[in-house]
Amino acid sequence: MADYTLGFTGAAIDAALAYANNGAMKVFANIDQTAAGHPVGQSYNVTSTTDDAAGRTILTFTNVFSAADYCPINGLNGDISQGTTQRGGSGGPTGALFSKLTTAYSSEVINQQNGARTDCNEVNLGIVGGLA
Amino acid sequence: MTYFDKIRNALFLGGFRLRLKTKPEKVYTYADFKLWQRELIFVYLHQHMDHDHSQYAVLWEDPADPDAPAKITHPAPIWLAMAKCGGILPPVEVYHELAKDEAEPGFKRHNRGHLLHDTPPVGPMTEEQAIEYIVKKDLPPSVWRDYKGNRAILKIVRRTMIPSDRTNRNAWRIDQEAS
Repeated sequence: MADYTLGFTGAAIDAALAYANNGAMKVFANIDQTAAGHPVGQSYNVTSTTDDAAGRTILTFTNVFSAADYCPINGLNGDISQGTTQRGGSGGPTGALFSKLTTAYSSEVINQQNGARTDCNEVNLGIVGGLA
Repeated sequence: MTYFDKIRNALFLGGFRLRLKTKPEKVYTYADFKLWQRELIFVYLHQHMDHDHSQYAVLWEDPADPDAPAKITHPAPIWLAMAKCGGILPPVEVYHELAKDEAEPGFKRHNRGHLLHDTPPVGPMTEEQAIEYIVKKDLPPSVWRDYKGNRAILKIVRRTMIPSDRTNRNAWRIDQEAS
């Protein structure tokens, strides 16, 4: 029989639960791109949204991430969600992948037929990762 | 005195002594917690309140990308409520320090994240002060600090002044005539 540990200390609990801590959602936002400023409804850890252009929103974080290797989960639930795709935005001022900074994330909605960015009235975003 | 009376008195006196010995419950402030925990606590404590959107928006253009359309930044209602509450958000200079670290070549991971949690939080802000905080936190310094050109590239406006028809959204520029 395996030598299972049946008794543990608070330190072990803290260490174990840190995993769940890292796995918990660190950002969520419900964004309306059809209104000026792309305002959020429900949100957590979001300071502001920037209406960057049609179909492109930049979210900034209140508690920044420790690194830009976090995992965004994009989803659309709007009237025009069929035939569109959501992705991390690109083409920032520096030409780098602006979509993922420790301080901000850019999300784009693309019309798959013509490749143009398109406003969506309900863009949902969640991010999992480690906070600074 | 019966046996049961003795027990009752012992329990009562014990309970009385217990009450006297109990330390007053510690009252925490937001500063006792990490920044991300503060928002969770704030939301829990104010879960039955509606948090309104700001009446303001920040209209700006990026001098590094002059062909790009004007951008509109708007605070999240929960964040604005926390800014008005006070004692939660760190000074905006903390974000500047972290942005400096991220701009370093070879940056991989923040080593000074504790600044967010350990720096004494700022006090309550008015809505206007909160918008100024957002300008300094979320807009590039090249827009709000370093720009020397004649063109107006930064304006704080009421949201009602922004057109609702977004047909030509990608052609929007800041009106240079409006005061």
